[in-house]
Order: sequence, then structure tokens, then C-alpha cells
Amino acid sequence: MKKQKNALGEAEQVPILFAQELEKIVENKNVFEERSRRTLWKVDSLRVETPEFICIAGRNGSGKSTLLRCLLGLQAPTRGRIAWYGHSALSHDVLGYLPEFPILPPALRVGTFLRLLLGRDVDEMLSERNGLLARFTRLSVKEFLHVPANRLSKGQQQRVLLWSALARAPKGLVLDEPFSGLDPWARVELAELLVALKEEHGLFILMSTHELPRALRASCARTWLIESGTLLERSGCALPE
Amino acid sequence: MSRFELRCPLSLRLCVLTWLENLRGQVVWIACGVGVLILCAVAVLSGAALSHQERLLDVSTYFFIDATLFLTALFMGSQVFPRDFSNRGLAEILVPGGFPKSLLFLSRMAGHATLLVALGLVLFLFRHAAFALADSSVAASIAVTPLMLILSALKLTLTLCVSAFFGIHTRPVVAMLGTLALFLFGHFSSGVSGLRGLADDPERLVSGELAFLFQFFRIWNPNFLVLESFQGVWESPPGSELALRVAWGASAIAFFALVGAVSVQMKDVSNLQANS
Repeated sequence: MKKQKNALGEAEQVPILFAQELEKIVENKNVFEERSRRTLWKVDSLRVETPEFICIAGRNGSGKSTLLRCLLGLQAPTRGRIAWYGHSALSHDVLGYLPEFPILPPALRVGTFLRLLLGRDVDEMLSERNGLLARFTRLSVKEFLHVPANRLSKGQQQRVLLWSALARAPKGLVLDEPFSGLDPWARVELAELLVALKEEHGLFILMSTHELPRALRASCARTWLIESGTLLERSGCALPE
Repeated sequence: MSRFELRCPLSLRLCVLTWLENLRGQVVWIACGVGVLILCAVAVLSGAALSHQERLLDVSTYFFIDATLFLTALFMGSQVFPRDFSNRGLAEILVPGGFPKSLLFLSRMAGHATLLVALGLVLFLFRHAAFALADSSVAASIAVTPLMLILSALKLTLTLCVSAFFGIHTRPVVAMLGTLALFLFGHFSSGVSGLRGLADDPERLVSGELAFLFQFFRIWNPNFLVLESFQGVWESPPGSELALRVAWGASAIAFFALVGAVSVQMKDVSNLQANS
């Protein structure tokens, strides 16, 4: 685990994620309506020291996706500091992100898109015997390589993006509602994959979700629950069954 | 060594991806088809409508090609960039992976601009072929083509930037209309006052007051260099000078405001301060 020196010169472990005094306020800026502000979520500090599986939960509109996007640098929080592995900006290929609504270039074939994104021959990557991808053959995207992205379902596009994220050997995965829109078999497959990534490969997993399959509940170390504008931390899985 | 391995930076690969995305779409092909049709029509009608005058053929075909590229750039800039700016699409995949947002924007802009320049090159080359087929005795001037291509490239890049700026702040249709209005008033017409000088003194290329600002106008009105060779009397409507200058200034402001918008977007990432 990476270490850094503190003010006393002693080596201390660099946290995977550290966020301090984080707050997001949303404003209604429509000129034809009365101006209003509300706090989406607020937390004093968030800290992740070891690779674990953390779930973000909350009611619809509570700001789960916004929290994820702020943590990843896709949106700015109203105030607060965020650092991944001790740095303010994400380093190259540290994290893989799976958005709630995958948007692949619609007219482009999947194989062409992956080749340009990853800068490597996809066929060669599919035939590799070592590495993360070789372990999860069920995640293969071989059948989609010659298909334009606009012909894939949401679950299939998700699989392509997840494959491309794992191809870069990230240290962690951030997923936004990965189970929504998936058939029951795909949910079980994805849950088993995530458990294997966490237990066997030590990946850090942060996920926002309304539901958690049984296979993942036991692996869930903590839940960040967004309730009434406050982000609370609960141990284990705090989602109702 | 793999069978096919791209050894080039991601920014260049994004340019290629932008090219392929657009070539698999419809906009570029529609623009190409419209340009080709118009050039064929001009070539066929050159005898009857334009009296086989080489200079008129140059100017008229330049304007048609330029207008086609302008409208295509207008559409692309107002429709495509807003998604990247709002961190959707490719930005969602690349930014969490550590790819700088500003480089993403520049790569996409470069991809669109170079594709449109390539489209312009195709149309300008087709221009020569069309006239050669229509009437070999009147060939479009080859010497002026590179200048026209450079001027068109400047304008479409500017159009992309201005329409992208509007596109990230308002709806695509409003962005297109706003950019179109700025360019109609500020650029297509701003050489008009220079034509008055031609009418007064055919020996002079430009009017006296515009000669001083010529080097600045050159960038913002690429048409100027072509218009100055246009023969004839052209009267601008009374009271339009102020409107022309305001529109010209507004488009210049919009261009630099786009640079500011990029900086604001970069501020999203710079808000994440280091943990000390």
C-alpha cells in the first residue's frame, strides 16, 4: 500500500479516497420561477483506507449519481476537498467508471471504438492468457466487435464499457446503478464478477444502487446513505432486502 | 509486436475517432452531396448565368462551398460539443481515467475542424473537375484555390468555436440561430463597405479607412480578400454600419468567451484540492 510522510516525517498509508467538508447545493436558476436552493448532501469527511466494497444508497433524487460524479471530477461540489490516492486529480487509469446510461458512439463499431480507446488490438487482448480479462471469460465482448454500438442493449453496452475499464487494469471500479435494466441472469453474473474482483484481485469498488443481489450483500463493508440532505455512514449493507 | 497496434497518443486517437464517428453519420455526407450538386449546377449554368467570366465563377463557387462548410460547422458545433462539455459520452469514460478535459475538448475540436477542411478540399477539387467537364475553355482558376481553402478553413474553425460556445450555454437550435445571425451580419456583410471604395475608385483594392484595419479584419472576415476582387457597385442599407460592427464585435467576443468557457470547465477539476 502506498505510503506518504506526515508532518512529523513518519510514513503513513495514503488513503484510497479522502474527502473533507463535502457539500453539494443545487439551485433553481429558472428566471420564470422563484429561486430556491437546497442541500443535496453534506458530509464532514469520507475516508477509504483499504480496498473494500462500498455502497451508496438513498431515495430517488437524493444525489447518489451526483456524489459519484463529484468524486470522479465530472462535476464540482459546492465546497469540499477530494483526493484519490493522495492526489487532487485522478491519475491515468487508476479508476474505471461505469455510468448509469452508457453512451458509446452510436454509429461506430464496438471493435473500432475499443481499439481507438485502448490503443491496442482487441483480438490480441481477448486472446491474452494473463491479466484481469483472462480470468473473466464470461465478460468477453468478442461477439460485439463488428456490431455498431446503437444496436446493443443497455446491458450489452455496459458489458463493453466494463470490459474496457478492466482492460486498463484499474485499482478500483466506480459503478452508477449497474443493476438497473439488467435481466436476472445478467444481474447474478455481474454480482459474481464484482465479488471476484474484490475478493481475488483486491479492487476497490464504489457503487450507487437501489438494489443489491445477495451475492454482494455479504461483501458490502459499508453503506453511505444519503438521507435528508446528509450523508451518513453505516456498516454493512443498509439496503432493505 | 501485435498485428495492429496503434502507437500514438490518445489525443490523436480521439481525432481519428471523431473522424470515424462523423463519417459513419449523415451530416458530412449530406453536406458533401449538397456541395457537389450545387457545383454541378453552377458548372452547367456557367455559360448562361455567369457569362463565362472566370472571376465570377471563382467567387460564386467559393461562396457556395464556403456556405456549405459554414452551415455544416454550425450544425456540428452546436450539436456535438455540448455533450462533451456537460461531461457526458466520451468525457464520462475518459475523465475519471485521468484524461484532461481540456485535451479532450481540443482533440474533438481538432477532429471536427480537420474533417471539415478535408470536406472543403474535396469540394474545391471537385470544382475543377466539374468545370473541366462542363466547359474546358473556362477552367476555374487553380492559383486562387489554396487561398480560398485557407480562408474557408479559418472561417469554419471560427464557426465551430462560436457555435460550440453558444451550444454549451443554450439549446442547439438557439445556438445555431445565434451563430447564424452573428455571421450573417458580422461577416458575410462586413466587406460590403469596402466595396464602396471599389465603386469610387476602381484602381484601389480597399477603401482608405479599412486599409488600416485590414490586417485585423483578415482573420474575422475571410471573405474580405475575395470580396475585394469583386467588380461592381454594392450599396449597403442605410444605418447598417453600426449593426455590422456590433455583430462583428459580438462574434469576436463569443470566440474568446469560448476560451473562457474551457477555463471554467477546467475549474471543475481544479476545485479538487490536494490533501495535505
